[in-house]
Amino acid sequence: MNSNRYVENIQKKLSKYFDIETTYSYKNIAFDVFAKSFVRNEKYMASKKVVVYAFENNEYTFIKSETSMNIHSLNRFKETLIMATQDFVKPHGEHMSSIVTGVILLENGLDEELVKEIKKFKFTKSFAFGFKGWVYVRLLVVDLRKGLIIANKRGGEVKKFYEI
Amino acid sequence: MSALFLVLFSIVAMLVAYVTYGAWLTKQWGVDDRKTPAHTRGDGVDYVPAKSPVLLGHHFASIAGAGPIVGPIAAAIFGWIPVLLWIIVGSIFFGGVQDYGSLLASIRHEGKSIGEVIEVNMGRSGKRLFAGFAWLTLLLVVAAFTNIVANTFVSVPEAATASVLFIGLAVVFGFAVHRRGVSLGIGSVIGVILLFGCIALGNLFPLALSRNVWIAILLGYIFVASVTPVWILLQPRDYLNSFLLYFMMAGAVLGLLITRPTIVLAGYTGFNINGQYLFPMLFVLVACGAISGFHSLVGSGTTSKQLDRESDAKVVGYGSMLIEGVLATVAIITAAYITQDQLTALLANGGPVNVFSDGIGVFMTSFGIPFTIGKSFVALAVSAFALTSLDTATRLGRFILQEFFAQEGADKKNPLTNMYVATGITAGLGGLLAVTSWEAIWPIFGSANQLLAALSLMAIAVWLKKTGKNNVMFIFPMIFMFAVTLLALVFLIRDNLATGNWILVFFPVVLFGLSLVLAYQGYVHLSKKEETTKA
Repeated sequence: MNSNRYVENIQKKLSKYFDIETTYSYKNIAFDVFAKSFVRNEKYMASKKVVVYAFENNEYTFIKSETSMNIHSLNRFKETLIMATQDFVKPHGEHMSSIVTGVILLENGLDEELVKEIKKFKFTKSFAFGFKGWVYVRLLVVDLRKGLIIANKRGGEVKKFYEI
Repeated sequence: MSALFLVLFSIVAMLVAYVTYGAWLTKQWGVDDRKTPAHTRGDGVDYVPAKSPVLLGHHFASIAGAGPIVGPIAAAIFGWIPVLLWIIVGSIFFGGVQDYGSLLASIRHEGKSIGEVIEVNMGRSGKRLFAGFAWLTLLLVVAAFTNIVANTFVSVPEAATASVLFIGLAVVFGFAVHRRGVSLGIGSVIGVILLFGCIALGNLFPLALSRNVWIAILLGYIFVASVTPVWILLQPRDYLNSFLLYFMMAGAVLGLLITRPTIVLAGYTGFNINGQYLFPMLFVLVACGAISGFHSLVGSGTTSKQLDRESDAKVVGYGSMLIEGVLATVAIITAAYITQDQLTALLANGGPVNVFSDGIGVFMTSFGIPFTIGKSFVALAVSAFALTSLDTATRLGRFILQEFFAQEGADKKNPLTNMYVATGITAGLGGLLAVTSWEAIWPIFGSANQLLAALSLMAIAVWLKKTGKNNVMFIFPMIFMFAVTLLALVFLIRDNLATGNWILVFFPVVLFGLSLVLAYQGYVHLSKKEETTKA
């Protein structure tokens, strides 16, 4: 499957839960898709105006297609995702969790070294010891040639969703 | 007499009322199939049409708490007959009319709540007055439910251990699902298994502490629960609680069907029981099972915004109240199948929850559940719901206090808007009230709730009058509820003045003043001659 077709399919799937922007740019990197989801849960009493408690869960997804990838471009992508956790996540009393998901679509596959790097990547941060929530990063690389998905541990949660 | 017969009698009475009186009300109020706010104001968030069986479930779950259990058992001191009669008559002619009417009034006012309608009529000062009334009522809820839980833990120490473990389990469950990525399905199965593990451990290691120590622990708990993030404790605890409710209801119904207990308690014990008069105390004690002001807030709050068709209001508003009447009948049976001496002993040693858990515990032995396990399970379930009421009331009290003292554009923030200070004051004052016995608190709480019922009945009667509809079905219940509230408050003031319990004098005096002001306003509106408007 080529990347255009894949992006089209994923956009359709994401559109059920996410607000989607195409041709999005962040930190001078052009992304094919930027999707964000904002979920607020409330427990109320008698009237929806009387909120007993509420919490928010956010997700930001960055999708970018590349023909090939090396360790430098991978590191740059990882750093961009970490920067996004600082720019996008605003912790407050009702903030529970935010997830930054980065997806790279690769036309030409990738070598074993990079696979190891992707799998061991980990970024989690708690705000005020978790009292103001937390954020973590998912990293997924879709090998369009082999039809494989390589993900870090957190990325594994959504591996099925990104299957070709 | 067979207890099963009483339940069947109650069910038949409610069914007949639904078909006859319910139909008459529908005709008098001109309920038709015009579009509801769920359609005309549909926004996919608050205003969403729901199928009537789904909405019936939502509405019933919202109005039925510990109230229909605690009230009828507490009132059993007058004998089971007056309690049962009030449950049946109250549900059909008082509570059902109020719930159905407030739901309809709200629909015809674009889904606005009864509180908002009252608020509009009373202006800005009225709004602050209403906030004050709500805050005082919430303090009473904190005090009453702290007492109920503390008494339950003293009388059933097995449930105390289980409850403490249950709180710990909720925290672990929340952490596993939210932070460790355990799936909700697997987490729920393990959670429910561990829940029963908590009960088993409770039976092996009962935690026997004094009532005052439990009150102190509970106040500490509600403070923490009110200020910590909800996903750590409250949200997972609420989720696991629902399983307790399902198991308890299934166990109670099955046990009752197999056991078929006989009524032993005296039908009528007297008008004056240790200085408590049947009128007005019976009508204050039995609220949720007959009429409760809180129901009108639920009906006009969320239910009215989800009603698919106007004709559904009958089954949702009137039907739910009648079902709750049947639940209250089951509660009175747990008190009535034992002798007066046994009831007095159980009430003295843990209050109504002890009576209820003891009764259901016995019923559940009929299908092989050991009594101690069954009793501590029911006590755990009821105290878990009482704990939910406690932390909900503390949070709401904190919000009201913060909002009340918040000033827009002020240079310096009022310390009372601080989360910890507002929580501390709410929990602290609630705790101060709680150290008196629950017998003293419950009637004041009941009076505040019944005052709200009288207000709702008045608001609907005024609206029906303005629209030229028959409001006769509201007049007697409204006068009756005002009389009950005012007289109950007079007795409370008199009793607490005599004992010098000034805190318990202060609350009834404030409520009494409020009742008089509002009753006068209602009289003015209802006696005024004015042109009618289209509903």
